[in-house]
Amino acid sequence: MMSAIFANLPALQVILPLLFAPICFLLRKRGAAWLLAFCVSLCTFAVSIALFMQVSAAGPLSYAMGGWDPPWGIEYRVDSFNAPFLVLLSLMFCVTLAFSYKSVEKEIVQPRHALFYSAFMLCVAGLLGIVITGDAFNVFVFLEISSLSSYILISFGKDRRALTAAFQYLIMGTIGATFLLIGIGFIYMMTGTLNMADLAVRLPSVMDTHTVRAAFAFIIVGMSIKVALFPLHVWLPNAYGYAPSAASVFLAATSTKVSLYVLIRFTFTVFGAGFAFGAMPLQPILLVLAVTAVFVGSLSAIFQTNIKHVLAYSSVAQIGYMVIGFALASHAGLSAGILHMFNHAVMKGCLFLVAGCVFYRFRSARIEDFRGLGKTMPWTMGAFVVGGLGLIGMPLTAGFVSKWYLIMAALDHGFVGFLIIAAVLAGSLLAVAYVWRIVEVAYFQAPDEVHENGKEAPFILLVPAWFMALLTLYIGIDPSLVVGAAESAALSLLGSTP
Amino acid sequence: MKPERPYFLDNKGNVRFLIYIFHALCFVLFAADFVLHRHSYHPLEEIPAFYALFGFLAFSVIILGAAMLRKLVMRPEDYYEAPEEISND
Amino acid sequence: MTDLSLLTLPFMPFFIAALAVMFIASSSVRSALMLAVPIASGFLLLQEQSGVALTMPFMGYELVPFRTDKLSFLFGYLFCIASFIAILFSLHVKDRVQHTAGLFYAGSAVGAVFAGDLLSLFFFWEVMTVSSVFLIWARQTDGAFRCGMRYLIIQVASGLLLLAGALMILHSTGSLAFNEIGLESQAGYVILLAFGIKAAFPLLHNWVIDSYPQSTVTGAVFLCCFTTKVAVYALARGYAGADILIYIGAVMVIFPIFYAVIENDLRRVLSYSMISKVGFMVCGIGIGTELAINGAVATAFNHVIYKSLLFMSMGSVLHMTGRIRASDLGGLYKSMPLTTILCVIGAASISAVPLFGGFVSKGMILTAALDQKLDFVWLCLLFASAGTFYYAGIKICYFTFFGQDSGLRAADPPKHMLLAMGLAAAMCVFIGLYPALLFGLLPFEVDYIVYDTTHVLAQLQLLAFVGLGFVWLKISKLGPPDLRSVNLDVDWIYRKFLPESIRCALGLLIADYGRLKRFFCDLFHQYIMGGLIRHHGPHGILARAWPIGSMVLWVAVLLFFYLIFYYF
Repeated sequence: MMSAIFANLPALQVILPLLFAPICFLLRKRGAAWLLAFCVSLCTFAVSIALFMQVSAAGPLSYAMGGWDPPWGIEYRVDSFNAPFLVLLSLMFCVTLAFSYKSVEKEIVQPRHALFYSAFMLCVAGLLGIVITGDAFNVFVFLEISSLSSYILISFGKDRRALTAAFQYLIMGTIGATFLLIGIGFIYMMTGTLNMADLAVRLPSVMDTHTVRAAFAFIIVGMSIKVALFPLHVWLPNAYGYAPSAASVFLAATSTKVSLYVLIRFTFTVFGAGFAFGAMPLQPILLVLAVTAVFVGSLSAIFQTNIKHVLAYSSVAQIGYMVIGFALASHAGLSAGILHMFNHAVMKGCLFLVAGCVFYRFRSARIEDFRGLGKTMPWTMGAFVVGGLGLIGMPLTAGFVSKWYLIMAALDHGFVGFLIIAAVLAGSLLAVAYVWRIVEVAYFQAPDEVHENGKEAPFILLVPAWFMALLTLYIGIDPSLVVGAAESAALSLLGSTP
Repeated sequence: MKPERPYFLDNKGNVRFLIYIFHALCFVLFAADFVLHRHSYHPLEEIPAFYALFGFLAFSVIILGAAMLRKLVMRPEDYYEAPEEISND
Repeated sequence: MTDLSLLTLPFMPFFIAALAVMFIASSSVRSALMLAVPIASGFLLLQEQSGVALTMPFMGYELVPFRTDKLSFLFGYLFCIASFIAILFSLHVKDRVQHTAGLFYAGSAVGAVFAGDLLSLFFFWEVMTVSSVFLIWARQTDGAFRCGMRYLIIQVASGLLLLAGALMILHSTGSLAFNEIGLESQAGYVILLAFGIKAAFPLLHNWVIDSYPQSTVTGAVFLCCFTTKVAVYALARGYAGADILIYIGAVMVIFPIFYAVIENDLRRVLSYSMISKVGFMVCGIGIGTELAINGAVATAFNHVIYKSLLFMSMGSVLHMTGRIRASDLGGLYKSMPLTTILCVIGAASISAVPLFGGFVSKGMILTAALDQKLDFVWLCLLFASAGTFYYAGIKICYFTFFGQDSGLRAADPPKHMLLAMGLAAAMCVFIGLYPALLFGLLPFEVDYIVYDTTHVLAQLQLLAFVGLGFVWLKISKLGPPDLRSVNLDVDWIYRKFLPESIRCALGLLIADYGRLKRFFCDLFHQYIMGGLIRHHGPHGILARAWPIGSMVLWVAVLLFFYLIFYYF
């Protein structure tokens, strides 16, 4: 029995949430649905940990779905690049669910709770599937599953603008997915295979054709939409801003990262770094866009009046950092980028959880709502300060570790490196402005009547927020685990030569 | 309210007395340069009562310089933004 | 002693108490705890010996969060004393956020001077920044908020430069150790810039003038003690003997004098004076001989004591009267006799009157400049000493406590404030009388006689004749009046010039062409007035939710460009 479970771990990783999502819907009862979802999330997390341990002990793991051997069947492939992403996703799954019991109760009308949880599980299943699969077409399928369910999640938001936001995201997401599909179609046409490993073998011989180049362009642009890389980021702020708090926590922490994962996976594993960065001028384009993203995102964040929007624009900027790391295409750069994907997920998760706590109390999360919170909600604000320090990149927080590695990576690149360092530092400076502005409001502005009587958020909401805050600090103090994971991920992408 | 008792410096005579004392002190210091031996490290210092002269000269330069600087940089108080009344704490 | 652990490091009591203070509601318990902190920290320092280092692995590097030598010890003790005084002075404050911020700030300053590597230094550097801004914001005015934001941005920029420099050094040498840095590499200049911002180098000095007068009464006392002194420490450690510092220092001692003379806000006068004094230290560090370094460090020590005393007495005046402009004050000696006496002691010390602390250290740097045949620098420093006596000694005391009676009758401040000021005043006198005590702490052997005829006579003459000038000026009634005003400084560039010139440049584009002009005027005006908000605000073009059509257009454009790039 146990050995059967262990042999099928990769399948279980996706199947668990996928299978229980409809059951969750059928349960109807709010409590029961939540309990089921939470149990599933714990199991998923356990599975991902087991996979992570297995991979770090025994190297890459290939699983033939339904016994059909690759490249004919669908292959699930877990290596040191995607194993940490599985852990991250399922961790956020647990944390968000722990948070959502109270939060969803407040933000979504009662009869739809079960629907929310099942959509949520579908979304998780989709994202896990994207990460774990070794099949190009399968990526598209899971992408659609996760996207469709996240449109639903966003449209649950009480604000009527949530519907427009979801619709916009739907259109953009669909275009992105379609582009991906077109790209995959092109390479399938040229090689006759959909398995990533197999593609990597067959593509080099047809590399010089226009079709492959077009495929590459379509995939890059398509995924740039999903990554929300400037200038294709405009769907993101509203989608995160108007979604129910629980959904924005999860989506902000994971969804763009998974898309970036796909981008990196296709670039390095399928097309190969030599083609993408040698034959194609991917590096300058991405660097320019990413640096612009840092500035545009941060500046926009400074002027927002809604905390969720501040955080969302900050995400646009932070995605810039990740893409910078990715675009450097060196071992150091890639590990810095991947490292920041984890760290940012943790920090942004923490901050969105705090926004959720405030939303829970005041039914909105405008900056004015933060007035006097330093006194009335000290624990909530404590978590915010920790997360905010992380975003700025203060030492002893996760953000500092990211910044450190990113700058170290950029130093290898001469003059361009200096420009990047300048951009990264300027970005942190702008982060100070948008984060500390809120801190000032919270600690020094007197609350009005509505907010004067605000109470601390319920304990059950504080636990996940502080869990993420402590994780931010833990990574800042002892980054060896995350850094190790990121470095071996980069190593596995670039082959044995760093 | 009872009228305030007059303070020391309210009396013009006292002030005048202090100023006399001060002038006397200045004179003594000036004269001391000719009596006591002041070791010099720099040729300028050998000028009699160099430090006294320098002090007076420096003061004049500062006042004149400040007056010119004021022409250059002084602006009304609400130049950047309206001033707020200063409150304690 | 090898049993060092993180918990027994001298900055730890500060950090622990800072967190504890947040949760202690009883003000007497809180006060007792806060006062115990610098004492505990000083006690921990006494236990340590010179030459100890604690190492700690972090991200694959050996960090040295604690390393001792004579230079660090001097600043360590100094910061313990200064924080004790500042805490004592601020006991009446109810706002716990300020106490927490103050403790974090003081603690990280103590930590910074014992940091043995650049990363640890950066850590404390940043904690200082982030905590100290609360002392400005605690004023809770709009002006204080904007000023705090400016302060924060500048300080964080300094931190980031330090980080960038540290990483560049790490990248090229593989070591993070914080020792002599020098100016041989680019990294050296980057770090010098970082230190320079904190040390208020000319053109980078503006944050001092902007923020210290904006902070709370008690916050200013904290602020004046730590940030610039940590920078002086860092310069002394990293750039001792760098020639460029001599000239930077010379400019620094001169230009603030003129500003201080015309400035009306007395705490701003003190801020200018602080830049000038830090200039003395920077100059001393630049000269780099043993005597000069000793002089610079001793000046830093004295400066913290007398400058905090002056900030405290001006703070008391502000606290009791609610006014701080020279034009609003005068005649306060009648109702605030104790404050007057204490302030005069501080002024005597900063003016280097013999028998007071300032006299002990001032001569060392001047003598060192002469020894090195730096005649011009010597004259600059001498000029600055004369200036100091005028603006810090005479102007502060005269306009506040004597001068034209303003009719204000405020009492002396509460006991704990007087006690804090008394303590600082006692130290000024004590160091003046027993300089040997301070000399024992200095990094190098001291071979300098403070009280000989030459030094005393020269200084007395200098002071007396500056005073004479002032008296004559007053008698002749020619003196520059104190006017309510704002004086332009470097901040003009970013507070006025940049916004205005953007406005003008765009204005020029709109020449007068009738309706076209009107059209463009409205268009541009809206564009400019909102400035960035137009672009990045909630409804700005870069932050607005675009219609789907234009988003899709962007997708197409991007795809087009990718294809072009890939095909050709």
